[in-house]
Amino acid sequence: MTMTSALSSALSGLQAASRQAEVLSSNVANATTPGYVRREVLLTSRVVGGSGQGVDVAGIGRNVDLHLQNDRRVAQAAAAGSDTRAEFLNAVEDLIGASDAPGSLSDRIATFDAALISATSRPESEARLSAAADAASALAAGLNAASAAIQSRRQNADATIATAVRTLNDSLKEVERLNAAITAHNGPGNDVSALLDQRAQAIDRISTLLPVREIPRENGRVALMTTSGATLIDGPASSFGFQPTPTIVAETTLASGALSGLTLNGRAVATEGAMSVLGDGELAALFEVRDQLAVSGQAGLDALARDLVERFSDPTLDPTLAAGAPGLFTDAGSAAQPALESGLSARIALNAAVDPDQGGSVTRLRDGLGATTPGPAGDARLLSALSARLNADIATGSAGLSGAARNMTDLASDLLSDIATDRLSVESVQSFAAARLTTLQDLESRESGVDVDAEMQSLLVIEKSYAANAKVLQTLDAMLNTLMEI
Amino acid sequence: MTGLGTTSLLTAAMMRQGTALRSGIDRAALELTTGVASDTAAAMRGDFSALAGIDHSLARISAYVAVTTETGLLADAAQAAITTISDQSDELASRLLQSTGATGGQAVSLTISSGAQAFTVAVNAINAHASGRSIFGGVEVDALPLPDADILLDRLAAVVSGATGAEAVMTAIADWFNDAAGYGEQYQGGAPRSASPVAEGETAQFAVTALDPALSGTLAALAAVALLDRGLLSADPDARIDLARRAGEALISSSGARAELQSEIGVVQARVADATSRNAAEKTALGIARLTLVEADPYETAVRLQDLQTRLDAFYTLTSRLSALSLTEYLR
Repeated sequence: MTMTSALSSALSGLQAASRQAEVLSSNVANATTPGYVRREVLLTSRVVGGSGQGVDVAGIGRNVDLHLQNDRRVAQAAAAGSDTRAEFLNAVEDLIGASDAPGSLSDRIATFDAALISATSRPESEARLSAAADAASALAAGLNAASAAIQSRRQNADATIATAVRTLNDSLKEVERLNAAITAHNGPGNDVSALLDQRAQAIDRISTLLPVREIPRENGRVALMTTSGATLIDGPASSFGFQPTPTIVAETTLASGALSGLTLNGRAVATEGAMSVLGDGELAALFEVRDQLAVSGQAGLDALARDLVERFSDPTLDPTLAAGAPGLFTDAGSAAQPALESGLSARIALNAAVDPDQGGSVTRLRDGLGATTPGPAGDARLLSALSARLNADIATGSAGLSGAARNMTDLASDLLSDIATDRLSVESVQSFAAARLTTLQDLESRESGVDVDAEMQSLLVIEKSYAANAKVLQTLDAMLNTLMEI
Repeated sequence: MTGLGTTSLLTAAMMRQGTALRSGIDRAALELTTGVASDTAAAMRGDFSALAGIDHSLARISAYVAVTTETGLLADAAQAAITTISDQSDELASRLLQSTGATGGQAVSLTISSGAQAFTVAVNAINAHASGRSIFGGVEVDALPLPDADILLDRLAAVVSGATGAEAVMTAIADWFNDAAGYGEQYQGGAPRSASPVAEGETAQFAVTALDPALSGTLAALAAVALLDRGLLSADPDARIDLARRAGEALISSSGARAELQSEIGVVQARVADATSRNAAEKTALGIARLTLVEADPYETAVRLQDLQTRLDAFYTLTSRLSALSLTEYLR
């Protein structure tokens, strides 16, 4: 070993140590950065002319467990999906409301019933009749508001899908661009870790929306496939297409063609069922909210509204009512048609004949909707009959609910129970998905995260190695000086 | 958290656990103070039918309170009105019978002139209002059931003017009060009131109107005395005494009907009172049942709160120890 080769070895040691310190400082700095993967310097011994001469930096390693990462991404999608579903069902449950919540549907029904009973006691009291008419009006308004809120949630889901699709397309493009950049710079000794980190983050964004698996390809590129087998990127990026709908009402459905479906590279793809490419992620959940959960919630409200309308439009209940004339509750002023059930809860209104704001008179609650002159002020028969009708067990006509004979309160509580049961089961799925995601995230950060203590230990080693190499240099210098002084 | 003593993983995991512990404590504290499960749906396992049924029944019971109070008031007022009529009639009857038994027309004339007011009092009692509502007017609650006593007497006087002899006059008066075209025509009220619901599945009906035979029979006898006071049969003193006696007898014989009417109203009062106590009992029972459904067991909640508190204590201790366990500190 010559003196100069010893000098060069010591110099390469110094260089390696400073490179290690540089990477270490980056690790410590990013200790809490989400998605940051710990890097390490890969060293090899330098070989010149068949013999070892110092150390070489072979590259920068990134500790990634691909399987763990893929599993975590699938779990992440599932957690985001169940969050969306649970959030929607919770909101609908609050809209319908438990019977003890003021303003809930059950509460409005009970208030209407109580107002009718009070009016029975003093049918001549305009105040009590007004209270009954107001309670009936509030019941109709409650259904209108619940329906409007469900439709606005659908509208929201539709708009969120549009945003999600844009994020998805942008992220896929970014993955494509980063794939190209990584391939270009992926030479020995080059550090593409930052690019890899960026790409991992872009893929994470995609995998919240739909579950994807990352498949390594040559030259550092990756391909992305959904868990249901659709290739999103393998070379050029795929692109999704979606048209948001500006106004969504109960009658606007995917089946009627009024709502946009999803396209992948220009071809329409299923968003639900076994053929869906979306798997279990936020995007699938948003489509489910828009096309299934909200639609069935609306159908339940419509069935309740139809039952309410039909209950009180019976001519045997109110002899002054002409056959086919609208009853106490109307479909936007006219008699309800069974065929027009869809969206009825949005249109249901109190009959104008008993609404003073629309030129009616509350005394018609007592005298009959078709009464032209006021009847005896103390006649409570119709009021009693209305209250009895509200509590009568009548078979539901709507196909949306089972035909069992129920009273209004049971009907409203059954509707709420259906949604609450769904919500509870989705919440148990949600807590499972969250626990699974937490476990996988913990495992992943144990694999790939930064441990500051470990970095500090390495720092001690690096410090020592730097000092040792420097000492070698110093000694060699002394030896050279000795030579020079000869 | 200062000083990243350990892995960032530990930091994230600890933050999550801290949040979970704190939200658990919030929930337990809320349940302990309100006594009600924080998630009703979960406590009911998603089935709201029992709770909604109870809440609806409670709302109905609070409405029944108005009905029982008002029906009770009406029955009480009717009872008072009939008592007024009955007391007067009984007293007048005994005085009439006494005075007609005595010799000489002087006593009878005195009784007639003092008893003439009884008819007016009875008509006014029938026309009485209870909290703004006519008591005996049926469904026509705003109208007075009968015209003024004087108008009634004028019309009656025209009918009996042709009759001669005490018996014929008494028959004419009684017939007029039974006639739908006579007294029935004077009645300004409506059909009897329908039944009102006073408790779950129970109704009470106050259906008495001024047309009730007990009232019209009494009015007929009182009207005879009032007409005598106006000078009916003034040409025939014996017939006057005879008619006064017949009026007294009619009042005695109608007292049974008045008592029956009073007991009929008493039945309504009893039903209302029963319904009131039943509603109160039901309200309490439903309140208890409701609480049982949504109750968060206070012992269980307290134990849970205690446990969570201990764990949070330990968690904070652990956090401070772990943050001190930093190699960086030792390297200084």
